[in-house]
Amino acid sequence: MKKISMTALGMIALLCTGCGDSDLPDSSELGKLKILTIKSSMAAGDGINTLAEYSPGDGPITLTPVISYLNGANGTTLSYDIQACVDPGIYVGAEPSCIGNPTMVSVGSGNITSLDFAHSFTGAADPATLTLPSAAVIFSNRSAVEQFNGVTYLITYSVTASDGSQARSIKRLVVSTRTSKNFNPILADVFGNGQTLSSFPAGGVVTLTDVIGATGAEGFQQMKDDESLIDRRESLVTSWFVSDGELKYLRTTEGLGTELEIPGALPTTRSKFVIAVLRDERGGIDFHIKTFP
Amino acid sequence: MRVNLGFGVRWSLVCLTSIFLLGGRVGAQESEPKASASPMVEPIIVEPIATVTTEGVGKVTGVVLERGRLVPLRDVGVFILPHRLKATTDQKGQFVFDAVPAGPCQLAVNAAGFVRNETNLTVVADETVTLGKTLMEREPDAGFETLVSAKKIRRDDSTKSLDQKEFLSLPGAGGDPVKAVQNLPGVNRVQSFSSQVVIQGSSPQDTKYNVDGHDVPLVFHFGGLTSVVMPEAVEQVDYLSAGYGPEYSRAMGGIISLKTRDAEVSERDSKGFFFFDTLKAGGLFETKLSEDSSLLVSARYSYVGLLLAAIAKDNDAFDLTVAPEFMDFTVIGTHRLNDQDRLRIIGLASRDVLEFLLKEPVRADPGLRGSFKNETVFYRLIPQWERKYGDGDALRVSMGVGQDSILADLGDNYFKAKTWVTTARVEREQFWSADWKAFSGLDLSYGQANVDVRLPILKGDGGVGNPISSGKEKEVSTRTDVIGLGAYLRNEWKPDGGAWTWMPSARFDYFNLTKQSLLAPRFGFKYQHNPDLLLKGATGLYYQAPEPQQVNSSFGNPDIKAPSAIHLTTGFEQDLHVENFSALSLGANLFDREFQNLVVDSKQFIQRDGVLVPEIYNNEGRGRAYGAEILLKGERGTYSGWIAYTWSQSTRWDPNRPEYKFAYDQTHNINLIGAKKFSNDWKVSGRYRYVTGNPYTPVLSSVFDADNDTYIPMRGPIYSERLGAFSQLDLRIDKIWTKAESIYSAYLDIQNLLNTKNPESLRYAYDYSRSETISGLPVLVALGLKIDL
Repeated sequence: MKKISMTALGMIALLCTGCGDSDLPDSSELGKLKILTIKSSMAAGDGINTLAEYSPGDGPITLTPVISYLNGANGTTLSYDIQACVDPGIYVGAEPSCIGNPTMVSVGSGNITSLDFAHSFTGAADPATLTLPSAAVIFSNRSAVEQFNGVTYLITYSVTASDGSQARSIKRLVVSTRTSKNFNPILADVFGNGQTLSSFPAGGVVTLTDVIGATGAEGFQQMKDDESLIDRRESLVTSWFVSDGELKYLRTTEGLGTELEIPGALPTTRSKFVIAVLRDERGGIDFHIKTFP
Repeated sequence: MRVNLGFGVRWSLVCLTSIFLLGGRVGAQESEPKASASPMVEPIIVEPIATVTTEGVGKVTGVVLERGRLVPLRDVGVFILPHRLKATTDQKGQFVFDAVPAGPCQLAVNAAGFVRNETNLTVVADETVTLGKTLMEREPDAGFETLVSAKKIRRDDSTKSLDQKEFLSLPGAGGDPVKAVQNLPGVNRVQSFSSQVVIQGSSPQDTKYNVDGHDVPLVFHFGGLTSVVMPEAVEQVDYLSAGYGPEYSRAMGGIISLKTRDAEVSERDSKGFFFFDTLKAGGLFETKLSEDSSLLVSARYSYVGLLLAAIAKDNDAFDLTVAPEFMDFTVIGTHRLNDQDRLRIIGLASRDVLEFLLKEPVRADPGLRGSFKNETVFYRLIPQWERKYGDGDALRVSMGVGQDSILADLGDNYFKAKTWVTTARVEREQFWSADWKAFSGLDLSYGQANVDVRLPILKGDGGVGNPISSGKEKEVSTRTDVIGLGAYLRNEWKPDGGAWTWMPSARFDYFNLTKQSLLAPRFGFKYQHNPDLLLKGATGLYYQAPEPQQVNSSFGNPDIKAPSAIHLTTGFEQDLHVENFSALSLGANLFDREFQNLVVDSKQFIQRDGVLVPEIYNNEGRGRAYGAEILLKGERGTYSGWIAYTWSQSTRWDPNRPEYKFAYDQTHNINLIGAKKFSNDWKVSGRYRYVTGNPYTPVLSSVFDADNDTYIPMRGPIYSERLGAFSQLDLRIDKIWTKAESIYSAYLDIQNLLNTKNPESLRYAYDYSRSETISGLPVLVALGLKIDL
């Protein structure tokens, strides 16, 4: 009962938070070294979709991180390190790390070659691939319910700049016995004022909308603890990032757009970016990067 | 008479109007002056002080009432001058002079505490002069209640109580009984908008709430604005802290108990009031149904939502689809069957609802988005039967029957619970010998909860939660039976009627959730050193069933057992006799609690039924809370006040980390309360509070969760840093206007008069790279008006 009282309290707090002024930065701001997303994919065989949910032993699975470091100085180099392990239980409070985990493997490490000062250190970083462990490892002692809904295989990705900046990220690969696997959603384009976004006008106000592929939000089944199945539908949420300007909404749900107010004076020494990342909240991800010189 | 509240709240108008009209009608009937003495009235004593010779006499009748309250004043001397005739009013305030010499004369009424009333009249021979109501006005300074009341009736010396006179006028509490408790020593300060009471360094979950002995699911409406029973329907609020008796259990921290009152009909057959303030409106009506029966009805409705909706109107972040509102209803019926038996039935109902739509996901946690709704409804029917035997023995039987309904729609997640609740208490109070009194009883509860839930399993640590998005979603429909069987024996042995009283007691509890039968010995003593000094002490073992979700196989650990606490407390109460002080008392206590088998979060995976599952909770927590508390209360002339101070330490342990401060570890907690009465029924009171800032856990860094576009905080040492101290000054001004047949009371309650920016918590940037302090309430002005009829 008290938990519910706290829920009510939380709602009130939410209201108050919504009303309150804050000087804290927005997640949409680009500047310091940050990881915007990591997309995992494996060909689905239909030539259109890529898989975001896997079976034990699947591979090769491609990991594509999206990174931004607008503040990176000329001459800066970025390096990465990727590890993988069976999820130690982040949802019950375990550290989001593979260190000390008996199932840990190193997926790769080295310098990021695809992003440099000329690219404002912003965009898709060098991809990496891995193959999932067998069922004996990943499904060891897991219940039928958990195997159906998915055991998560944890990827840790860290990127370090030569100036000492660092960003760390995790990505979960959902490994299940489900026969209908989850596809990555498709973010076909980003529109500005109803057309493909092709300019970044100083002082302008642009309504940004995501153009989602025809597949849209998928239906799926989830197994309850009593092993009964329920039908669910995933939700698509788009996160927006901009190098310059202010967004009205930082995240939008299907069909809704956001407004970008672009400042009158724009930097000339680097490119300008609008990046959208689409998530289906089941591990499926796609992204679209608009670069303006 | 019409009341235009101007808020457009139809329900409240209907309710208020009906209460008002009913009250007004009854009042009008009652206030009709009697043409002659009722046959039921006892004979009026007329004492001829002097022999009067005249050519004729007439009759004079009337009734003497207190101005405003319209309460009959009995045993009051009424004089006819210059004839020096005297009569005394009966219990209805009526008087009769059978033989008053014809001609002009003067009626004079004298009553202690009232301004003398004089009326000129002319008596005609062989006729009756009916004077109607003579309204007596109280003398200045005689009408206001004091902050320092007489000692309360209490069974346990560990119980601290506030009666209605006290909690209605305490500054900063808004007239609320439970908020007023937070002024007492040993009660930790909670955040603004909190709906919880934290006792002596325990956890908020360690406090249980009941009304007339029967559990209720919540004691506050949302945001801690006010408790769920209208304050004027509450006679007394008890706060049971360390060392409380065996009558209650299942709470390692303590108990907050509201005692409702019967309709007050000893002076008037019917009366009522209605009120409105900045947040709510309501009314109370009480009436005598017969010589042995009475009824009290009260209701309140909050329009705080209208204010919030106005604030939120142009907000880009959310729409208030249903403005938050709450309402409550209380009915109390009493009936005296005979000299021994008394029946009482209490009905309570409460509803809170809030609904809004977020236009975009919450910035720090995209898992929070869409529509949100929270509705909490509960009702209880509490029949009580009490039989009193001539030798001081008594039997009390009561039940609590009702339903709790909780709905929380949280975007894509939801929690729906409907619980049928039945509680029963039976108590036999018996003198086993002249110096040995025993209370034996049963304390039973049964709840059948039907729960549908889709929520993420989500753990934080050190008060810093992980984003909801990073949790693992579970969807469960379940029916849970929650059974608590309790039996107790309390003994009070006062050898030879001397100064010592020994209280060896025991309690048995069975919890079906943990399948445990538990015996909890308790012991107390008191020593009345002299009429002014009482020494006391108590110790005992206290068990508490885990929360149902903690033993749920999907969201918790079915192997969890009941945590326990050992309480130890000792102290004294001293009445001080100091010149010029009408009352002065000092009380002090030491308390110590050792917590065992505390339910704590676990990050481990364990084998259960052959599969690997998260343990989620285990019983490996321990803790200790100890301290000292002092309460000094005094009254001198028109001044009154108290000082409550608590020094305490509260720490916890679990296997993965050394001793750490508890979230509510508040080293110093000071409450200073003062009041001054002025002439013309003005009163000014104030409260100053200083509390050490709560510990918090620093966040050192974060890891980006690429699947959910959120960040998982990486915590530093748990509760290793503190927020700044809390300091607040509250002011309250009360004024009463006594009209002929009504009383108007107004108050102005200003919380945080100095607009101190008290840190309540930290708000983090999306990636925890920066934080800023969230301050508590700014200056908050509440204005209220109450009209007694």
